[in-house]
Amino acid sequence: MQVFKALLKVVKKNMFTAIVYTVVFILIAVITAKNGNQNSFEAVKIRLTVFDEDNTEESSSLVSLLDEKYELVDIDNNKDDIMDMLYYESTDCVIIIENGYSHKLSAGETEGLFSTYHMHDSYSLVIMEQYLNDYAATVKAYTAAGIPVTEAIDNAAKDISVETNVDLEADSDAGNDDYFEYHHFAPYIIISAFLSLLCPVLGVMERRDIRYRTNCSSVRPGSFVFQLFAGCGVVVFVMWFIIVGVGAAIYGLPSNGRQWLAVLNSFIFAAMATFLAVLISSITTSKNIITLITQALGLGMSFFCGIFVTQDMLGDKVLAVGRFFPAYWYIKLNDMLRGRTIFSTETAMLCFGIQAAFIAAIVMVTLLIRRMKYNSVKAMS
Amino acid sequence: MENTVVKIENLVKRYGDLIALDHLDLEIKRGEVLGLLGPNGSGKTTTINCLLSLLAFNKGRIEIFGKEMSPVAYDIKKNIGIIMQNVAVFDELTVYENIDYFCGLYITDKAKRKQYVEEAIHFTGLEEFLKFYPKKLSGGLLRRLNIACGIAHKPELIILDEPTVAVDPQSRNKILEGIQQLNRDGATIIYTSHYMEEVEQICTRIAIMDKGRKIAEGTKDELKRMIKNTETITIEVIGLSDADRSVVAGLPHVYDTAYDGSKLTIYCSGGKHNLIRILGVLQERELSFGRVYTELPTLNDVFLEITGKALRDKEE
Repeated sequence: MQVFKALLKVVKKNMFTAIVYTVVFILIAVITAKNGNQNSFEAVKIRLTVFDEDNTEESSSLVSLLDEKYELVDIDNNKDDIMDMLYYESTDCVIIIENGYSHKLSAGETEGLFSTYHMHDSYSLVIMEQYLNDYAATVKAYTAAGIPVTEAIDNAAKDISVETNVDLEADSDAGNDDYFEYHHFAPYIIISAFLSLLCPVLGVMERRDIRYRTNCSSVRPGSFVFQLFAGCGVVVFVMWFIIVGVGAAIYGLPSNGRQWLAVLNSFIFAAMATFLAVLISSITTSKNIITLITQALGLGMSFFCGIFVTQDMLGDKVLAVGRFFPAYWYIKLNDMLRGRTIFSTETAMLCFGIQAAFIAAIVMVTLLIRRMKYNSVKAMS
Repeated sequence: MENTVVKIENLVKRYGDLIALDHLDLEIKRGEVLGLLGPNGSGKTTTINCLLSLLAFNKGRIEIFGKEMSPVAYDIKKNIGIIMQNVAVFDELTVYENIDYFCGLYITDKAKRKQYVEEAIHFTGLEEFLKFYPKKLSGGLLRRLNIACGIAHKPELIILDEPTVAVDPQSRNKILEGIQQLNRDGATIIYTSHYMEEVEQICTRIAIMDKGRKIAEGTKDELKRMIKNTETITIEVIGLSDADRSVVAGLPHVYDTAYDGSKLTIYCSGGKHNLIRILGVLQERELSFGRVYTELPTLNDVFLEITGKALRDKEE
């Protein structure tokens, strides 16, 4: 087992980068899981500045209503101050209740009641403008029904103040969501740590002059490859076990089927990363190129496949690109297991299957490249 | 015991239209140090690669230790050691670990391997550097480590492929002494080089290759006898007339002369007392001369005469 032992010694010499990657990203995953994953929400309170140019009882009612729902910010009514406050985001929106507001409201008009000014568009501002329009439309509906304006204003205020109670509940089958959030970051750790460790190690073992000397020896090629893969297997399993083990130590051992599937998911992804390392080291043994490929793959998969930004936030085109990476299917499955999307066994199998297909494709390309490479090596001798 | 260690018959290797080995025949006897001499691209390394079954050949047959060599002839490979021009060791392993690794590719018995590794360390004088990593070693020590990795398993046949390229003279001498010692210890050696002086120094027999063919073979004296030139005499002389030169050129055994205005070069083929006769002519004609020196033919002269080109590339 000379090759096996030598590989482990070379691994020992190259361990530092992999340890740094693993420790840093485990910390990030733990911190993110702790802070970024809460089963409650708080409604965004945008800051409004209201100038009441109508100055009537009706317009005051609207100001009071806005005061209850939003945070009102006072600003002097001059153009420069308003522009500064908007520019420096001291207020999100300026609303001017136009002169003649009460007359128009009484006449059942909904246009030209108020003007809004803001620097940037946002969902919150759109909802706020919708809120104002709904208020005016509701008042109009009441007055059209013959109800006096004052009463219509009160009714409209009550109607649109009704809020829906929202409770965020975790999928009961999923269990501890932090566990899945931790596993959400595993692809980046696995890709970065595995590639940064295995590629240089395999590069050393496959170095042309060393391989030449090995080929001259009485070691059978099958035995050489077996020992090489056995060494990689041990290293990969230990690293994967540490990554999963840290997750288990913090969030507890997998307690249900879905958590075990998450573990299996990470194992298959780890296997994919191992074969990817073999492929890369078959292409190049240059440390600089390996670092470049590791970074490109690690960061590329993270951005395109929904590791750093969740898949539901990514655009269709980005996701379309992401589908060509195994990490996309890993994250898709992890999201499903944690209950972000509806769980289905067929989709889970599809995700596992596609990752397995990636492994098969990587193995085939690796064999092809190695065959071409060894033929060219022979031709050069 | 089989006396012939390596037998190459009618070996042909082609790369497309290029013929790398052209019906090569070679036989190496036990205990010989065979020098494979030839310029870059002459087919030395291709011969070695075919010999080791690292390269498939188009035609011919190779026998080592009386058995046909093939990629799966592990019992033959077990008794071959290879030392390459490049230092092929792990930067991540210490001197001891490197020797142990490469020895372990041949010797599985732990106790035996330990003994062999220690003997290789002693042979190459690396005792003080066992825990050093290769990057900490000087060029000469690295070469010694390279040799230790190649011979630790005590092979009967050792192939050295230009092991002294880019090595300082002191380390080169140590390497050559080491090779001679290995030979004295019983190893048969194939030594490829394009440094003729090394080959002259250590090889008992020399095969000269060019364009994939063996163009001459024999001991160094046998090779030198193959060529016309046996002695080159150079005399510093000023004012030599054409008539004087003609007289010198007409002496027995002189087959060519050259004169550049200050230096007369006379090429002789066979015969004795050539220098005395030439100096006699100069004295008779009252020509004063300065330094006089004679050179016996070198392998480079042999190569030059046989192939019409110099052994080493200009840049080397």
